[in-house]
Amino acid sequence: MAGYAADLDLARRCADGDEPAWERFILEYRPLLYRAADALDPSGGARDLADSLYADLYGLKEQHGARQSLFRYYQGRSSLATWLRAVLAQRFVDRVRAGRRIEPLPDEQIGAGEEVTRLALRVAGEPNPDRRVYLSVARRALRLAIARLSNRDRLRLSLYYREDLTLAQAARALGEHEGTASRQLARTRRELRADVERQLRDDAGFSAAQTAECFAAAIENPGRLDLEELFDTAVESKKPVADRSL
Amino acid sequence: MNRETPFERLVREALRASATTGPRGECLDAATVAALADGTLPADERVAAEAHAADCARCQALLAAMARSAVDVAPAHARWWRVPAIRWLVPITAATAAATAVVVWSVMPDRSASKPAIADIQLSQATMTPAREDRLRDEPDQKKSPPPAAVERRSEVAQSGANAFDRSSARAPGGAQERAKADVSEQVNAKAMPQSEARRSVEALENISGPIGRLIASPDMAVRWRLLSGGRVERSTDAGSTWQAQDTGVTVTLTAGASPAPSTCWLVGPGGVVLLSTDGASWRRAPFPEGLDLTSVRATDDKTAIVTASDGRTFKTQDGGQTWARIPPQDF
Repeated sequence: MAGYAADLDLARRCADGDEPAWERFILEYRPLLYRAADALDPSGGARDLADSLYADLYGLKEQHGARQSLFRYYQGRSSLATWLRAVLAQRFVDRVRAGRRIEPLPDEQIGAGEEVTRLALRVAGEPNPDRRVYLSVARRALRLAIARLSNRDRLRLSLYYREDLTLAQAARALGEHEGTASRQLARTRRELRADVERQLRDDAGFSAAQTAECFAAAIENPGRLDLEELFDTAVESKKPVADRSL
Repeated sequence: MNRETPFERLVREALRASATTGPRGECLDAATVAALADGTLPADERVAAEAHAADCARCQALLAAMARSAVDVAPAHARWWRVPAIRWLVPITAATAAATAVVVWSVMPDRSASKPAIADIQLSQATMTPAREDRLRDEPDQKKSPPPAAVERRSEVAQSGANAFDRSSARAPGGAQERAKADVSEQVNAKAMPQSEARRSVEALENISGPIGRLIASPDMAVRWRLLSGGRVERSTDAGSTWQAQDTGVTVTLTAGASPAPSTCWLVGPGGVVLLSTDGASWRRAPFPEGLDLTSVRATDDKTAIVTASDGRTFKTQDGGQTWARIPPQDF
């Protein structure tokens, strides 16, 4: 915390209404906030969030005769620049999510059960009536396997696959090296595969052929796939990680 | 090219279906997220934060936004060339550049007129650096200083824009010059650069590559506006392939805009300028009570808009800009 004493002092003086401090803050941090806003929304749509942040930081609202500045929430646990970026990111995420509530995305519209039904309907024309069961079993096994991962592994996996971060970004978010993140992701995928295979074999009593059918039903392309294709370690280790590692 | 394996597609779908959002109070606050990003969060708190974020869609999105916005996090005063510990590099760099220039000059067999000029440029840039460094160190007091460094400042603004573009690569809209123009605007908003100087900077940038301008997207992806210098506004209805100039009736360079509908657009600028178009073609100026420099606008339709001034004050209209009321900031 001592490393951010200067930032904390600047924030305190700004919160107290020190005009030179405020001018210095505007001069030094405004471009930074704008760059962060543009990174969040390249169309410029997040700049108004950055601007509205200034009003809250300046403290237009008064309580008991004192300005209520947002700066009072800054405690020097990080650099002022990172804290400002976090506040901006928080508002950006909340705005995006509020927009989605008005216009739900397909993933959020459909519950787990409905999703199974939807995908089952997609393959309803298939000659094999067991596909519906396979579909449900495969997805349930995978979700259970994901739930069994460690928190950090699950978070890394989510940042990479759910949030579509690049490998470098996911690594940065977790404070680890990109190479480490790559190795950990590969290990996590191997663990997931092994867990799902075990569940299908031991818990569901599936044969190797049924397991293959199970996964073929679970993917969007209902064509026949075998375990070698699904679980091709060599292919997986070479391609997907490098694909978004820039 | 999508090179995901089928198994990875399954993982992605499963993750999207399983993440939920807990009660708002349990989510990570900005201070925790910032400390996590800076690596200053204590180990036990980091473990707790990761445990929550591992299953919370909102916090995952927040961490992702932090990772995506990690462009140049260092404020102006902390830029590397201003770190006292490496100031000794400046004279060494200058000396090295000078020596290189001399060597190049002496070993080149063809001493055509252009080569000494290149060496001279390298030398002059290198020897300029200490003065530039001093000026940067004293940047907060620059408003009081006379303008001989104006040309140098403009080049610095363009340079910083190029750097920003390099860092954010494909994400940056437009290009380095657009970024440089945005930085000019920021300098004006921060009152670090006089309007006249900023205007010259923008014009200089435009002379290099033609008009660029700040883009304003509408809900219709094909319809967008762009703000050019001198109050000029252009509209595109084909996703930016072609642009039609529009008469706004103002000559100040507009700073921001919002388009809540394809034919509705609000624009703001310095001196309390608020413009509204409800037909996508013509503009009318809405009366604004104060001559403030307006820096941003948010709008929900052609009646309701919120503008923010450079001093942080926020105003709202609900009658198409006829009347304005100052509003307090939202609770944090």
